[in-house]
Amino acid sequence: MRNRCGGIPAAGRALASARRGHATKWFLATFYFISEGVINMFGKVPYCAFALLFSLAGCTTEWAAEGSYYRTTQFLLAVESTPPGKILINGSHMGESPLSIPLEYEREVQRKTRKVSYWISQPGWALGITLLSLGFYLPFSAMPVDVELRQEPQSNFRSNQFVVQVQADGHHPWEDTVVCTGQDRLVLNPVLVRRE
Amino acid sequence: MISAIKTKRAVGVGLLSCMALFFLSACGTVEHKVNLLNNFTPDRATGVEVGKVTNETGKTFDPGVNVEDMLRRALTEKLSAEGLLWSNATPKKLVLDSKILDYDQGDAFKRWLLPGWGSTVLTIQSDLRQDGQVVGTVDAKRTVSVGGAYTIGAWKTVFDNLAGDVVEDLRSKIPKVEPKQ
Repeated sequence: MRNRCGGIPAAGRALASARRGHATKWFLATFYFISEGVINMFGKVPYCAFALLFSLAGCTTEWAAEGSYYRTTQFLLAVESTPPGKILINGSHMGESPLSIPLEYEREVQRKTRKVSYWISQPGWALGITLLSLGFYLPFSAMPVDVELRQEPQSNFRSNQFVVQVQADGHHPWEDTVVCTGQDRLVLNPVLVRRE
Repeated sequence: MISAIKTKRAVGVGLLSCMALFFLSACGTVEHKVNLLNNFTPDRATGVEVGKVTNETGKTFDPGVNVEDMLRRALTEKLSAEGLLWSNATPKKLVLDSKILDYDQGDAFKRWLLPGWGSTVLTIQSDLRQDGQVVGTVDAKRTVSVGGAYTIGAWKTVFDNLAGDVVEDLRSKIPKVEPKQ
């Protein structure tokens, strides 16, 4: 059946062909259908203005550094000495070896933000509003309105040095300094020297 | 002809509903997660105490806006409402130390005028401690980037909403104590 309202049969054909499968086809068909509707109602000039706005608005802005902070990081220190002995970390008695001790230090994290459209931050919401508004939201949806945050760990640390001592009767005390630089776990196997 | 009228009506309805939605609603991002370290499982009768709250934004705010106090109060209220606030009667205690990483007061009129302009943003990161040891972390973020009249005061309510998200996450990890029969 021929329709006098220009473009609708074409949109109908596009929709019909889209039913055969592909998501991209569905999107293009929906977009085409909406475009036809907007052109019918407002004319070509406003539609072109919308399309220009859509293309110029872009979807994201560049990542911008927003300062940094120190985030608490945990790592596990396992001490398995020969012979077994008393373990001290920074002078505090922690227990007898073999022992696993969770230790904390701080790592610098860089915060970066950028503005994104809802198609990136909340695609479901953007699609829902586009459908609910019968496509009117679509030209505006490309505007970068939301803020996206990225946290990048840096190689700067705070309070990340630990002096580990192992003491056993009849042996020289063993001492070492552990510097944490992002590892999750560290195993120490000190061998204590017997006193003469 | 009839289908043209139908199309016009449909587009008109879409336009009106979109305008109403823009005017009335507040739109933004909600992100929150709690991560318990080393398979830590909190006991049934665990209470949460609001610990240190620090401002790590590097910004200074209006004299009437004390962000640390606003977050502390919001967390305390939400924990209390959920029955999670630590008291002497609760045998186990988790301490929630929080850092405010980002806060923008925003402006309701600006975001009504142009979505994305004048966004209200609040981002926090918290450590959960038991007996001084970190047992978990919480990350939460809320933005109000689009909206009209209903977003007036979002600079204040964003703290309550974000605290609600954090407490909801904690509730999901800390089992509820069933009342005794």
